[in-house]
Amino acid sequence: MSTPVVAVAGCPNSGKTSLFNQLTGARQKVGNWPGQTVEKYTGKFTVAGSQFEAVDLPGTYGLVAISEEEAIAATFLAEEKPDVVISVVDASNLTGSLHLVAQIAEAGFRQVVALNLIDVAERRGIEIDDSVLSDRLGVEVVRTVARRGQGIDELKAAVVRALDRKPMQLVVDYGAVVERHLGGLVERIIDRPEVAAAQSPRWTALQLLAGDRGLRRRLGSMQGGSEVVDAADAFRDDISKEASSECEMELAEHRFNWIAGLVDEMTGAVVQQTTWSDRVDRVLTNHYFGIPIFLVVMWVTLRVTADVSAPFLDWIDATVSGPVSRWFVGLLDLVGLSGGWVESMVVDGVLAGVGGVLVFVPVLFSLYLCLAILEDSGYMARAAAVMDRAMRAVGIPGKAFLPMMVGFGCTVPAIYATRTLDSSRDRLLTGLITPFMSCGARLPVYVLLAAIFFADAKGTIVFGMYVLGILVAVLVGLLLSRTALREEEPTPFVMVMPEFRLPNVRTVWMLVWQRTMAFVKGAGTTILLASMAVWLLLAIPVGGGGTFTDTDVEESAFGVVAKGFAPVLDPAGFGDWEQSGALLTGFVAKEVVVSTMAQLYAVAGEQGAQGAPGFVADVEEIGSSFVAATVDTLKAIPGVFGLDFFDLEDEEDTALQAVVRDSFEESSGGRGSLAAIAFMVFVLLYTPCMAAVGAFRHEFGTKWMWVSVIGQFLIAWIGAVIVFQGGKFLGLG
Amino acid sequence: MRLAALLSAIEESKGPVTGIDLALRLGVSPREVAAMLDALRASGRLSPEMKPPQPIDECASAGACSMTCPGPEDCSLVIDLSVTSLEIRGLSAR
Repeated sequence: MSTPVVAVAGCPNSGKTSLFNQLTGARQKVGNWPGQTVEKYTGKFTVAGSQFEAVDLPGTYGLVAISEEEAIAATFLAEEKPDVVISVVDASNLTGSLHLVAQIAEAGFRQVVALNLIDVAERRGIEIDDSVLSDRLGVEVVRTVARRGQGIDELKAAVVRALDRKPMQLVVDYGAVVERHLGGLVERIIDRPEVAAAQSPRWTALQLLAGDRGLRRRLGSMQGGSEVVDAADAFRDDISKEASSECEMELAEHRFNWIAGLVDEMTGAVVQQTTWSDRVDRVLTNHYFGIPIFLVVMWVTLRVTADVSAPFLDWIDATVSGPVSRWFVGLLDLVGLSGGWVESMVVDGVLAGVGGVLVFVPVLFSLYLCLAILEDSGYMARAAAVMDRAMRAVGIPGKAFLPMMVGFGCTVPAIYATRTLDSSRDRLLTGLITPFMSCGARLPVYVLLAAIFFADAKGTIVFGMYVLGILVAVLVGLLLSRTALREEEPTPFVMVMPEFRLPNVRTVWMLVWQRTMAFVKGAGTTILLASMAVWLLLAIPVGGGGTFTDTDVEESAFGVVAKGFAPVLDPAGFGDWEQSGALLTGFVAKEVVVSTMAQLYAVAGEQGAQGAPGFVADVEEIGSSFVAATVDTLKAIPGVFGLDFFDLEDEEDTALQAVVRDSFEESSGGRGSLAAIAFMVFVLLYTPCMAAVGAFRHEFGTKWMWVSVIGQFLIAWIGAVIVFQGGKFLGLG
Repeated sequence: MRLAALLSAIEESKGPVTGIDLALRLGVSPREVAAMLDALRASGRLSPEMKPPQPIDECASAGACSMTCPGPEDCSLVIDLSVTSLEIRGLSAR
């Protein structure tokens, strides 16, 4: 006797995979479904000495083969005819899960229902009388909590009992019109033996009337199959005419009513109540309050990011530019490499560049922490819905804000995310405006300049940059949708959002850790390489005198190129060659802007080389300043919400901040703060990084890549010039 | 004909619409809308948009990303919105 096959079916997120893993343990094989990219998991389990083969079907809501997953599940059931089907039902969402259960019962399979996530349902106060389901479908129902292994032994025993039972076919009443034509189609099927033998004739007829494309294809290769398909098409038309509704809608309505009645009987209709998540949703996605709430959430996020993390930023800066630099110099001295080009490369190249960026790890950590909390709570989905609605109002495709929200993290995946849009016009339009969303890598530039020129309003300035990015994206989108990329008929779609929940600490921590480490890894790769390249170009003399590593920086290869670019930026108030040089390297990645500034102003290394308090004193200094930073951070938290309980001392500028301040004051003729805002606007609006350019070219081709790069540069330049010259005209700065 | 009414409401929206919007429009609870969406999904009238085919090497081809690219599904820099977009498949509701 061959090993009985047990198929495990269920909706996505019903806990099907956990249940399959509990059922089969480590005895699993992974392959692919024939001709598909979807993975196929099979495994074995034993009950009372009898072995069973389990097959994990792809997660699906029903058996009408539209998607790849549905086609696989429907084809497997029709062709392989498993001995028993375990249907995994999410007990906290019965209506969502029971369509599949009903369809499997209508197909006439031996079925066992696993009422999974029963603990979640109980927590929500949903009481389920599973005997109703058992009686109506003629199946055994087992309560399970698969992720804890509860109910798995009972489920296995139920499978054994099901094997000895005669299969029972559920008959749902689809109303007089459908039933009359259904009967006619069943008769045609019974007249064709090969078709009739394939599966239950009533189920075959139902699936054909529902428009199952997979079944139509399979019948095409059977004797008499084409005639049945033609007859089904004729019956579908007749039903549509008589019922004044599409045939598949008639079927769906009756099945929905049947399931709604069943669920009411099982639960006493408690699941239809409005939850607290619904009530919160009504406010957060409200047409009038939605956008102001989104802006407030962003403002708090960026104040936390810029203000609360500031003490740790200063702590890392002092540690890198002080003790760490001294240790490196000391180490080089020990191995006899001090004073030469190696020391110059390590101190002026690596430490100044990489260290200058690592200073901003607390800033990124804070941003990622806030974003992770918003994501895991379900708020980001609401924000996307609210902004989508607003953007569609000005003619930008509704789905555009989904990739744009992704752009708050990183522009590269955001550009790839444009593939979720329907038309090539929508994809291109969204790809062109997504880079204006401020990614995490731009944040260090804002924080550095805001701390120098707007110490009391850092968070507000950073918030302003994020909002400006959204506004520019909307304006450019509006312009393009009225000119080169005219609007097409929008596609209607439903945005299904997750329920609100308390963020999971572990999930949030994993997200924050991975993203922060990605930034740190970037400092060890991209930024390290860029810093070395900048150091090398700074060390090479061009024109004037000097030798390798001993040349006036203005006469170096880097200085000459940067000086050539500087006049272009002069109207924006930041035409010094150091500033233009930092922006040039920013084409590689935005983190490199700050590292280049640190190198060009060459302050970190100089400060580090001064004085040598000794290793123990250094460690003590690091420890005591860490404690002080922690205390200052805790004191700063109430300030985010406007509650200043503590009188925080004004921080003195670090060496880098002092020299950057002087540089901006000088380049702008005494309007340093105005030039700093113009510089931030430029950083916000010009090309995010080389990776983003590569992604854009990959998605939209070389021509549009150049349109994007040149367009962003022009918009950035115009924006920066308007800010500086406009501010000057108004007497600001 | 509740499902047909819901499908018509989605079509008339000509763009994104949330369960709350639909509930307000049809005068039912958001739970009922969710149940009806499940029914339309099970009957094949609404389908989640197809995920774009993005093999791992495509994202890496961009070059200068600071991470070793694990592919878009696992890229930790991707902000997860957890939104499912359901689109109407097949003929219009009548």
